[in-house]
Amino acid sequence: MQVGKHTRNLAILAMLATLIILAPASQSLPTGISGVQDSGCNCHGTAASSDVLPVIEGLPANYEPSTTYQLNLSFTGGPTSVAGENQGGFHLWASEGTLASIDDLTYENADGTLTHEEAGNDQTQWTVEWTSPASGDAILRLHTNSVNGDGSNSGDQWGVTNRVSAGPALGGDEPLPEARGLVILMSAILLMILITVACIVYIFYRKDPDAFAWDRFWPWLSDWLTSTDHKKVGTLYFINGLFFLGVGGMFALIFRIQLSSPGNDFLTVDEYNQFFTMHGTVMIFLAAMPMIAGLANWIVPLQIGAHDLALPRLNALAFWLNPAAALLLFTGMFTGEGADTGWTGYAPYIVSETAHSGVTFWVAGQILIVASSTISGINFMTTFTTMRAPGMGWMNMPLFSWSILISVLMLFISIPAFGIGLIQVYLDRTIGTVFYEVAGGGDPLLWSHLFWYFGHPEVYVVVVPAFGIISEVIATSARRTIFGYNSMVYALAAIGLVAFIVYGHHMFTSGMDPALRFITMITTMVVAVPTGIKIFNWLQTMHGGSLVYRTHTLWALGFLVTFTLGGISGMFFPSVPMDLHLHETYFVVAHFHYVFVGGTVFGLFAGIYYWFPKATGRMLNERLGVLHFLIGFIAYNLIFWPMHRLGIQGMPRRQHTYFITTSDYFALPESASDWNMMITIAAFIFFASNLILVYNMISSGLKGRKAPSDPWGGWSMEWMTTSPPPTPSFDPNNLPMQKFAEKHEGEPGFLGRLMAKMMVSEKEVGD
Amino acid sequence: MEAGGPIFQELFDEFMLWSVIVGVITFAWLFHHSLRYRSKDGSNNNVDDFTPGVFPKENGSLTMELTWTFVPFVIIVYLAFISWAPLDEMWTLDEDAHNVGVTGYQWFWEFDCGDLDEDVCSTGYADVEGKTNPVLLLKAGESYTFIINSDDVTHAPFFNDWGLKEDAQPGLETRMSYTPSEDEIGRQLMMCTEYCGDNHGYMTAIIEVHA
Repeated sequence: MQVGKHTRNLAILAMLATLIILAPASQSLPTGISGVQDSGCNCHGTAASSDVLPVIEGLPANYEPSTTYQLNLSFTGGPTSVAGENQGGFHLWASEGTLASIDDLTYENADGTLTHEEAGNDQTQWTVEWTSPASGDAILRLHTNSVNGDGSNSGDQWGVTNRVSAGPALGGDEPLPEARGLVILMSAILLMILITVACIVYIFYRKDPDAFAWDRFWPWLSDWLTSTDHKKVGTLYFINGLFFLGVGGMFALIFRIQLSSPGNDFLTVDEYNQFFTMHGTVMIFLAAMPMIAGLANWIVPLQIGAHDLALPRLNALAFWLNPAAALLLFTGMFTGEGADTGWTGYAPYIVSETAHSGVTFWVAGQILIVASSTISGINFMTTFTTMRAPGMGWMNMPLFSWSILISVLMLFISIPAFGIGLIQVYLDRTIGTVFYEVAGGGDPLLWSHLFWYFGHPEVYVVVVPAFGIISEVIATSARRTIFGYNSMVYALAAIGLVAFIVYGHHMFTSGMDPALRFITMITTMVVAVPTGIKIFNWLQTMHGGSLVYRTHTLWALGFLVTFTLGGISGMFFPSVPMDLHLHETYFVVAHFHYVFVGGTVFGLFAGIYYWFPKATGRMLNERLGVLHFLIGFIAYNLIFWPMHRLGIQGMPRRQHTYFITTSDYFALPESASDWNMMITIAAFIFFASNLILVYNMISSGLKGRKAPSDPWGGWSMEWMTTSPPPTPSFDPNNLPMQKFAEKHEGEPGFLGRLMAKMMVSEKEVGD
Repeated sequence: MEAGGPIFQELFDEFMLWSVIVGVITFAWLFHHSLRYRSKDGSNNNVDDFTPGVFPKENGSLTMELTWTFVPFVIIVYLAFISWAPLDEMWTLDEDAHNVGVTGYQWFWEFDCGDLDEDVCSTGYADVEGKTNPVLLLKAGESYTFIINSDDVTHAPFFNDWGLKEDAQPGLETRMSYTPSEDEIGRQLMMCTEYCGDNHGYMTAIIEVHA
């Protein structure tokens, strides 16, 4: 039976997922399941006895940092009533701080744990010393043997106890409540999952309220889970991206609370480091890229007149790698040992002992993302080269399709370098290779090169599709053909090309050769030329037009404002003498949020408002859309504009706190704390404003006004189909023919002919 | 004291000027066009006769497109040119400079004055928000080359008042030269600006310049 088979497969997958989640939880115990801490020191007897009660005296509930405490270890119960020789033994382990032996009854093991000496065998209590760490909760685990003294292990019993000494109480005697930030985050994620599930069920219910039953729900759901249709996969990508946009946003909100005032202790350093790492990772790899992939999946085949992508099953595979990757990336967090390396994961920290064990899972998750991106890159490139509608030459593709083509090309060429670096790190962390271990002759700079060779094109990969969206939205809204179509395409291609020779500007402070610094400075500045061409072309597109103000128009105009500002601030970094001051400060944070949020995310918002009617067949509520834009745009600027100022004043990023100038030393001015508080408040408003969009999508998706096939009056082929489009999107035997308003030069051009030589002949493709 | 050294401040002002010029032109253009060419009655006037599936008629002007290719290019060449001399100045190592060792550890700094005169370079300790921090005392007007190294992972000393930083890489010596001026007499907080783990944010030191 079809359903039964799916149920079984799903059950197996669910079991595997549970195992993946649980496995690290057991492995993340100090030395794993079979470590000495669990079985104790040569424990007498196989199982712990509840009769034997180990006791640790002298351990404070809240320790003072770096203080030495004398601990009295003892136990009661068990067969140890016989006086004289061989009464007991112990083993003591501490998660933090250092243990020391102070007499010859006890002995320090090489792994830092304590046990009894031969002479200590005759005791039931021992005295040892424990020196507390600087911060963090310390767990002490004591195993004791209760020995009957007959010279063999038989009849002996043992017991174990755990005691926790919390970190130093800050500013008061009250012990700090445990695990605040993580608990808040996990609760919020759980809440979001519940809300998402509730939404899915509700949407199913609303589709046909009379037929709401489990045996109908399952086929409906399994259709979504197994579909290879580009529209359904696109929707999945998009929901996945939107969900993680929320998660990434919550990370930001929580660490913004930490930064709202100097010297705050809302998060521990440990939590803070995990939070900003996962914020970056989630936003780029789990939010921006899937959302772009979602739009690309939906729109590209429609725009180029194809009935689906070239390789639909690979497309589904590329998507389903994403949730798996997300699970891996988060696995570390669920164990409280999440990746804490920053999204750049610089070596040698990433392979060092001090990095959290969750980094290994983070790396594994990233490898899946690399696989997913590579697969979907192949898929899109194949689709573009083979499946354009009859008559559509390369230079007749809509600009959104062009931007996706450039973007997947860049990704496809750059991401293998990242993959190689990740695999090296993975091997370093698991089987002890020394690619990045300095002591073993490894080269940490290799990682920086591999990462930024990928990392810089990557930031263009996520912003270039936004260029495409804006080109479509501005042209359609202004009712004008995009100004300089050819130069737009060449500018995109130029950005794609230059992306590969500028990455050195991320490494200006890493001891680079001055001549190379100068070359990188020039190549980086050159990026401004094609970007400038695009901005001025967009502006000139409006000339002589009749601009219709819709929500997507507002977001596109907002994009022009913020992206121009982000582009201008980007000009300050390539100038090396300035970069030496601005590198790793909030000026960088301000700049890349202006291009990521003001560029990519605003572009995606414009794309949502623009294509939502096409995808769902219903119009979004314009009133809510305008409200979303106004609140979101203002709050957004309040967050990131002051960061420029903080950066110039020298506030370093990725830091748990910041220092205000005192009479003793010069640091940040007094006003920095007020600005930070304002940023935090604005961040909450910005987050809340995006809930308007989510509400709008759900409510309008269910009962919005019905959308015509071409609500905005666009020209590209997606507006030829019905809203929502049928499946397959176009009849494969009767594909649409590209028509032209003007007589145009013959296609294929030079590039097209060259491509055609390398391809299977067009006739075969047609078949 | 002010964040960023003299070179940074001079260049920053120049770049700001050009930023404002470019920004004013772009935004004036944006606001003018988006208001002047709006649809007066909100209706969908089909100016360029968009029809689904039909590649629209051409819109463009080679002269204008070449203008906004060429003009930004000239500005960029100019900006690169004015960054050149300071770049040279920063990276020319003074042969006679005093060598001062700066080593990063997880998570503290260590300064090494070598055999230098007490007056020219000395070290000490001071309290920063309840934590003991190393202090490096330097003399204004003297030229220093910092030989930067790391014992474990990558760090980067950030001299906020001078607007300088350079990575401390394990297994690699990086160098950075600076001559603190009379204006820079005082104490500044040096921070770590390459993420290095748990206490990255608290990896501070004090640099004192005296007369």
